[in-house]
Amino acid sequence: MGNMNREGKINMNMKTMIQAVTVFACAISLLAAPAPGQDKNPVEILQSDASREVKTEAAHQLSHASDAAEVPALAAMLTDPELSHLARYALETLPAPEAGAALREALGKTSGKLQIGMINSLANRGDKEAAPAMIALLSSGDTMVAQAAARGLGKLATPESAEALKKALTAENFNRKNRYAFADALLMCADAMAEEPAGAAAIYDLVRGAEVVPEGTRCAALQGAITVRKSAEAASLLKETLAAESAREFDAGLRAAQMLLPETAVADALVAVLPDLPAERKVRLIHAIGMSESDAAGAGLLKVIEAGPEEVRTAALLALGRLGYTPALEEMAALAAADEGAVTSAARDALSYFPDGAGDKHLRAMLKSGEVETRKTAVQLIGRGGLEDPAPLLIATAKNDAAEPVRIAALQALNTHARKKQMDALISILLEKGAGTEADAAENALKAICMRTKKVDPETIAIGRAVYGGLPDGPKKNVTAQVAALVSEGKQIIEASNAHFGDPAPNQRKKLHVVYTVNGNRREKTVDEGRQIALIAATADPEMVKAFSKALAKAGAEAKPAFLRLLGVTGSPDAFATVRKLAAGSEGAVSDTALRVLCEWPGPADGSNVEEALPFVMDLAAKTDDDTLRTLAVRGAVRLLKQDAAEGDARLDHYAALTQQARSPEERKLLLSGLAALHDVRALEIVFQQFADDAVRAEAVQAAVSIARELGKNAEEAEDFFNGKDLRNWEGDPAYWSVEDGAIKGHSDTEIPRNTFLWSKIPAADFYLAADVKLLPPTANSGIQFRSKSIDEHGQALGYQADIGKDVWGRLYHEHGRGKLDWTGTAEEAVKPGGWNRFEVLAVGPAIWTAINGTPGVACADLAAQDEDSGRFAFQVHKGPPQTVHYRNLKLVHNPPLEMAGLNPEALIKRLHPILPETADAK
Amino acid sequence: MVKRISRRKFLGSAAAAVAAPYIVPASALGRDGTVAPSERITIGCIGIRGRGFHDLRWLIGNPDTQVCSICDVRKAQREAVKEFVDNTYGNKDCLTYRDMREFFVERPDIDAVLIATGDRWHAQASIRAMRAGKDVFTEKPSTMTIAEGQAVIETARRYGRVYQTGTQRLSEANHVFCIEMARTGRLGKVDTAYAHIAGGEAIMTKNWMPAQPQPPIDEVDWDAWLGPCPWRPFHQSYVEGGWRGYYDFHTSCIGEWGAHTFAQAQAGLDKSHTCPVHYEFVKNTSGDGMVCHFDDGKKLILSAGDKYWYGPCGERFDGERGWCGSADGYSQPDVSSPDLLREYDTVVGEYVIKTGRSLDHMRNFLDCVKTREETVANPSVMHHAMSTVHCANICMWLGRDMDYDPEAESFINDDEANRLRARAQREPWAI
Repeated sequence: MGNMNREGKINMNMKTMIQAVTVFACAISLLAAPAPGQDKNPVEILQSDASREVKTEAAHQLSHASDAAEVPALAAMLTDPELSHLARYALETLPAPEAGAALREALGKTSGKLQIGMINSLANRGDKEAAPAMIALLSSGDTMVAQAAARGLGKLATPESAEALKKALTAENFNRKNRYAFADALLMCADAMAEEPAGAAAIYDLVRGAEVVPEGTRCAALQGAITVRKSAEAASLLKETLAAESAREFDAGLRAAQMLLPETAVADALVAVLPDLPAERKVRLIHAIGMSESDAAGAGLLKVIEAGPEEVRTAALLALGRLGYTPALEEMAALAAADEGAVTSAARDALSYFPDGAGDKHLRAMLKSGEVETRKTAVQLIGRGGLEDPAPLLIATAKNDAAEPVRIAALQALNTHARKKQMDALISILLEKGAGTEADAAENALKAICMRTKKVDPETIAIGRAVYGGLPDGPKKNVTAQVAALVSEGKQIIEASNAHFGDPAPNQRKKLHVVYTVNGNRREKTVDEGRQIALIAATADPEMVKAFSKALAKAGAEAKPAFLRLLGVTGSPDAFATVRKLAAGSEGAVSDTALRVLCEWPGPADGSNVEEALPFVMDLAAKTDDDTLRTLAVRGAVRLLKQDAAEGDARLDHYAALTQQARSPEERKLLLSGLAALHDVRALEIVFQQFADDAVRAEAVQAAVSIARELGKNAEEAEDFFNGKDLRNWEGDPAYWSVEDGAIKGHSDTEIPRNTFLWSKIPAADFYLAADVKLLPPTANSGIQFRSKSIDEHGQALGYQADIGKDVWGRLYHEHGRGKLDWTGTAEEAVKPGGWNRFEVLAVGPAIWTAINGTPGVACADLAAQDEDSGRFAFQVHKGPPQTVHYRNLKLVHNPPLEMAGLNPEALIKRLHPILPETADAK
Repeated sequence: MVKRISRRKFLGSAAAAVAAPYIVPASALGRDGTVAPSERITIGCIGIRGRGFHDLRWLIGNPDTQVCSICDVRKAQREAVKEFVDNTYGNKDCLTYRDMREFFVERPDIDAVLIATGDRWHAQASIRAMRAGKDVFTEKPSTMTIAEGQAVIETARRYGRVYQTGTQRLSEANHVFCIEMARTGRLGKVDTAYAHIAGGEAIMTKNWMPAQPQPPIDEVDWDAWLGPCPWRPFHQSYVEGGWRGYYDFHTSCIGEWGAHTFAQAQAGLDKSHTCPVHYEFVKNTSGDGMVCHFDDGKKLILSAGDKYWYGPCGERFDGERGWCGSADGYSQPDVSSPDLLREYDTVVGEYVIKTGRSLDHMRNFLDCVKTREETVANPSVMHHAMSTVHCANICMWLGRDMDYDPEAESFINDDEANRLRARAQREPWAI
């Protein structure tokens, strides 16, 4: 926000940002210091001719800091419409009795809104001395005042207040419009009469029988009338209410019942009325009983579950479960094993979560049933948490039950409940079954145990070297000790932040570079300031790896693939070696599965740190003749690369190699999805190479857009490109080049012997350049060199030129090199000959765009370039007849976002066409 | 984004695995499964803009509701909501009101209200609605002061009203899991919870925006917009959501997310109906790192930024057997060991069956409108989370440690802090 108020003070975020430097002192001063620009005390400010804003701020301060001595001054303001609230703001919360006296006095001297303010403040103070004056106001002709007085009296709740309100509610000489407020206030009085239930009951009865009082208020009174009474009396009124015709009265009764339960008389009353109620009310009442912890009601509900409408039985089953009513268990178990739709499902819910393990016996009994379906249901209920530590029972069932569906259900339940203790039993089941549904279920359960027992262990991480600062060349600091300390504290996520490491390079974008090992495997990572490095090392339990390897050796041909897959799940280096050996073996089916497992090997993000995994799949992708396997290998490689299995140049090299090997569009698409996640201009180049292939063009565009979006986040406008005054930071022949009216001018009155250039000293790689250009005569020729270098003593240029001149505006030339690079531009039609023209050039990686006066010119991806990703700018005066060219309003942005001529990144990238090496050679 | 250790698939959907906690009786359903108009809960809306529209869409998607009116001090919003509601139902029936007082008097037929005004009106409107016999779903933070919270509790009890504050994470499965893991002892003894606070400042400005001409009352009822707050001149930015960060209108970066996360943290610590007794002042501008102590030594620690989370509005519980936490955008809770997630379905399923509470916060409210049960974010839960917010704010404002008595609801030996428990309300408004 950072708004300025009318006195020009900075407020809010800006203000607090400034304060962040001297946080503590300023923070306190915001609350306690005098209002800005004033040294007077807050009361004096209120008395002064200060602005209303300053006075309001003073009142805020007084709201917690005023004292009795300040009361007289504040009291004088209570009758002033502009200051009354501010004075109350200071007085209402001031405990001193003087404050109450001042408000009472003002109550007699004010009317309308201001008087309402006094009533409210006095009521909030609990000022009982104000009661008589408020009672008098109950008959005020101002209905707002009378109602405020009523509510004020309700808050005070003195006996006199209650009497006066009763009279006001019933007597005809009080305004009937105010009755709802009188009734509200009476409820407050009654609620305050805990010591006097009979008196309270009388008030509730009066209000619930009163005329003109809204139904909501009468129902509140009804609720009060029931809950204030002793059990038998309450039960009788409750029964009557629950049978009442009005839905809202029933609601009030229901709420009253909830408040009184688990009182036995109340529970009995509810069960007694239950049979006569319509189904919809039954459901709600049963629900309330279920929530009540009342033992008494259980027997009544038991009858309900036997027969009747489905929703009523369902509600009763759930209620009995919540109550933990054990006599219901028998019937519940029977219904759980039945096939009665919603009723059965409720019985199962109730049984699974029956409190204190009382349902266990019944679940175990169901497990011994002769019916397969019943046993299967029991296993499923146990799987949902029906028993404490159910794993041994589930294993026994998985091993011994006669029916396959029951055994499978038990194995599925073990997915959740098995722990390492059950590993051996599951392995033997898997060895025995070999393949099929049961084997799959056992394999899944083993997989789940393996995943769950993976540990994040800081001791497996060792920090080699850590550097923080303006990397690579700026000031930096060795922070190895700090990072190591953070890791030993258990942190696996390290933020590159000054908070951890101090600030070795103020006002610079910093990076954190960490070299470390996980389980002895060397890794390194670099992140920008504000981002995090995740040094995660979750490793599988070595005992599980051993057990899987042993089982693999023992397993028959059918079971071998399952254990290979399980070894893959561990992600451990030992497991990798074992699987790799089998992949190279001669057993066709085993070797095939092993290769697939290696292609799917988990990466760093899944906690695996096998360094050979990536080289293996890279190699496989390069060498295999099997199309399916190659696709799997490419997919595996991309997955590992996405998980930072390699970094920086190595990662790009891998992508480049894979691009060469990829044969199918599917493989290319996988690669593009990986490249899309890289924030590197070199990745763009690989992506652009795919532009010519229509089968993946759409994915290539998407990938390029996503890379370009990230690249634009570090945009930085050059401040010293052209200062508008002189040719500082430029070099060229002063005979041609000068500054005039804030514009760079290239000029000659005579024939120009050779191209001459004005060179900028600012180098640039990826950039956005915009300039207003005027060329006279319009038939002359100029141009903007970029990413270029000067090649001789005359300052001749080699490199890209965004061309300027009749018939060439906006096209892309390659000076002293490849000649006409992209001659397709159509921006020429937007040129105003002899006038100022806005010329834009955008170059990101191999992609180059131009535009003139907002009309796009060329758009190409120069894939034929050699070492031309950076260089210098130069403006040209072309050889030939006398001419003048002006450049003004220059803007240079480094690492720019992909925006130009009103086009978004997607639109710009879609326009690109590749310039391939052959094409360029041909020219 | 931080990479997670486990990319395991979410453990099946607990929400789908358990039955609806309250069953709509078959008698209330028409043949095509729609709810008969006479059985629908009629809803009035109060103060709907950005977040309010989100709530309104959420609400109106429930077949047993019928939104029938909008009350708003802004004409543009009255019209936008009417258009949305009318388009939804294909009629022109949504009625518009400017003045809340008239709205309540004229519409005794409305069962419940959705309140999504700015913070300064949440408690004020809730109390008025409940006094008029209506159930309330209100956005958070639901009170400006401790006194307002007391009044909300008292009014809801007196009128037997169902009230839910919009701390929807209390009903989301991932948070439910974390809370239940901590509350039921599955994490072992849990003595520390971390609660996420928003970016920004605890110390708010009392300055004014420059005055702009006050629009006609029909367009913006500025006096009603201000309500109980001290008068200040109109400026358009306030009514377009730019009221955050002002002392009169907001409960600071602590209340902005603390309204949610303190409720989450306190639920897991089994402290939903009390609040901390000691607040340690921290020397920064946000309250980041403030340690709040409960009477039995448990701690709630305020944390800004992403030290403990990788999404907004998180809570985390540290127990003897490990830690677990959740925040927005998590596919599954964040845990110290994947084994803790083993019983995810069991823990969440047990919560639903035992409490009868839906894993959809709005649905929980609507169910309770029918059952008259207390909601998951009932007045006491709301008030005690907001009490922690207010105490932490007062601690920051006064710049010293605070001792608080949650029974008496007063600070110990600190008159100045006690005076900040309430604010005098601008006439004629009162709670």
